[in-house]
Amino acid sequence: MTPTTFHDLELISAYLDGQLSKVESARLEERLKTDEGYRQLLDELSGSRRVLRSLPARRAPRNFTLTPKMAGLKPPVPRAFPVFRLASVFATVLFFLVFAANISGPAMAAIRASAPPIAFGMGGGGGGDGSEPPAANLAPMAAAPAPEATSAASENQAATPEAAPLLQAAPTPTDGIPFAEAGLPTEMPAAPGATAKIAPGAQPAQDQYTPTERIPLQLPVPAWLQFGLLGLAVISAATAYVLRSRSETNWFKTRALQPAGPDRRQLLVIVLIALAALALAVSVWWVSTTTFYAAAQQVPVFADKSMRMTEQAAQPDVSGPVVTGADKGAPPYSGPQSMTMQPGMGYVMNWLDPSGFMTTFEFPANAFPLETTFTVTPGLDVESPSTGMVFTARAFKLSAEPAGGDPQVPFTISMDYGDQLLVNVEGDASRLVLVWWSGSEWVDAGSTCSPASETIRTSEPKRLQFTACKLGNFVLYAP
Amino acid sequence: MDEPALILDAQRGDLDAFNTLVLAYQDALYNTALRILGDDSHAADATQDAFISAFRSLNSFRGGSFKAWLMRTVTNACYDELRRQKRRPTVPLEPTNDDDEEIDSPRWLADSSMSPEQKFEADELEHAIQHCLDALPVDFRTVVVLADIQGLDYSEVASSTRIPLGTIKSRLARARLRLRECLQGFGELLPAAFRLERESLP
Repeated sequence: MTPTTFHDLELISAYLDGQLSKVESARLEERLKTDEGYRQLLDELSGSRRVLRSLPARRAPRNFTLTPKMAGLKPPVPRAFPVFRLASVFATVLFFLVFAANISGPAMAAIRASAPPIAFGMGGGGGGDGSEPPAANLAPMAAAPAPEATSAASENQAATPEAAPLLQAAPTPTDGIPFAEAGLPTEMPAAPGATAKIAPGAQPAQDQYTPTERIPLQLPVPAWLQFGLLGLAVISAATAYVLRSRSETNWFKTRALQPAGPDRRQLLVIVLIALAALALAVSVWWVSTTTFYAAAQQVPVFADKSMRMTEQAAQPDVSGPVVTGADKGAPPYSGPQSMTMQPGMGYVMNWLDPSGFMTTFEFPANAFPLETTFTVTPGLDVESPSTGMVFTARAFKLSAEPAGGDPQVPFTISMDYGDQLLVNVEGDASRLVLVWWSGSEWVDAGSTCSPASETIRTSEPKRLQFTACKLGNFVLYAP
Repeated sequence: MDEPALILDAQRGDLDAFNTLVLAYQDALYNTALRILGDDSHAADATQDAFISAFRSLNSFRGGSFKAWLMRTVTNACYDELRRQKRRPTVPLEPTNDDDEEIDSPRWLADSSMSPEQKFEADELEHAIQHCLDALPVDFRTVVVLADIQGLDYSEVASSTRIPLGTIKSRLARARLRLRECLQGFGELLPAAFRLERESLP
């Protein structure tokens, strides 16, 4: 018996597995016959192998099949997806840039504009107010109560035109600051129905009147572009999302796989798109119902030349014409009043006529093709009607510079009146007409339009609303 | 089961085709991992990892024995698992020699280093075999598991382990001898045929 070596061991092991060539096998078999040690080794190795093969095969404790997630499989991204995603991102970025530009521009304008009124004492609050835009607009009119904010208060206090309590309805200057900074200065809807008018039931201004001129807001970038960008962002994001989720659904369906539930990122995308869509809807609604005005600039214009203040003079250093509450009880100042109109915007001008009641002129957009300064002057250039009842305190002359022509569309003249006037016509408001001097005779103001317009008479508040198409001499008249 | 067609489909990304293959081979892979790692849960983890990496690298399969190819992924997964265990060592099951070197003398296994308690636990043949497998260096264990338990031929073992054929031969021979030495300590548990054979020897 020769000692076995590792070479022998390998040979025997390979022989066991049938891995030897025929020659090698024959040689090994020869040796096995003679060599006891070889035989023993072969027995041991085959026994070892047999034991291992006797090991029971265990069943897998579970199925090791792969889910798409484990396999790292992802549904293919639709080819158009990146395009829409990129479009959405670009539109969003542009939207915020435009938004920032629009905010900062008007905000600065509002701050500039809000500075001068401070010189006017009580009128200082006109700079801007967010919570009650119409009230803010009327705030400088001191004793003229804000109709919406204090309608209840007006009823109670109509008989006692105390300035102070009514003023409480007007916002304090500090109220207006946040809104002005937000770039949304005093606003007032331009639609006739939404226009804030002076409540005639309340006492007209007894102590101070500061006419208001509203400057239409000039946005650096038009609002439609701004919201168009937001719309583009929303639509492209939604399109990208729909494209992708549809392709994912198809992908899972063709593979008969269970789609993974919406993960957190997907939910976030849905929520963001929904929020942006909501913001868009609100913005579009807001823009479509609102006309933006810059902060109201208070420009009192008085008949008395010494008290007159032009628009250019309406700077902080002008403090002369300030009429304070101390003048309560003095007759109202009334004099010519002007406003400059730009094409494309609607304008409203409140004018306190010599009777102490408010007359409001309302021009729709594009009343004049060019920039026009519209002026109302109390009194008439011509003889008043010779018959009937002529309310000379309610007479005025309308003119326009430089065009001088008549407005291209009908404009509205609203005249508030009081009980006294009603007594004069024995309570019959239908007798009240506004007449216009045609150059040869007095005719109904409504007849200046074609077709002739009707006069709208409301008793609460006591108001006459006429529609006219000509400038010139007007007077309230009861035949 | 049309294995080549399933493999082709799976290579094109058909997960269902691949999962059919998974069901066909999961027992083999699990058993391999179990014998190499000696632990149920680690074996399950390694099997799952093996199938995942198999799916991802399926395009590297260029024909031949798919089982051998899968065995490579599972042995790799087992080596990864063992490396992880080495980084976070648990209580070692077996004392190893200081150098962790291959010792040529079969006698190093004479001391099976089993405490009486361990012997009690290993009172079943399977436990005994697993104990002896665990006592082998991992490279030897892998070869003997693939060849003798999974029944792969030498060339398949070589392609599964990427070890040259000659080394396979030598390692298999030594591993068998060492297992034999180890299993002698569990004489009572060995199958009657095995014992008889032993006893028949002079």
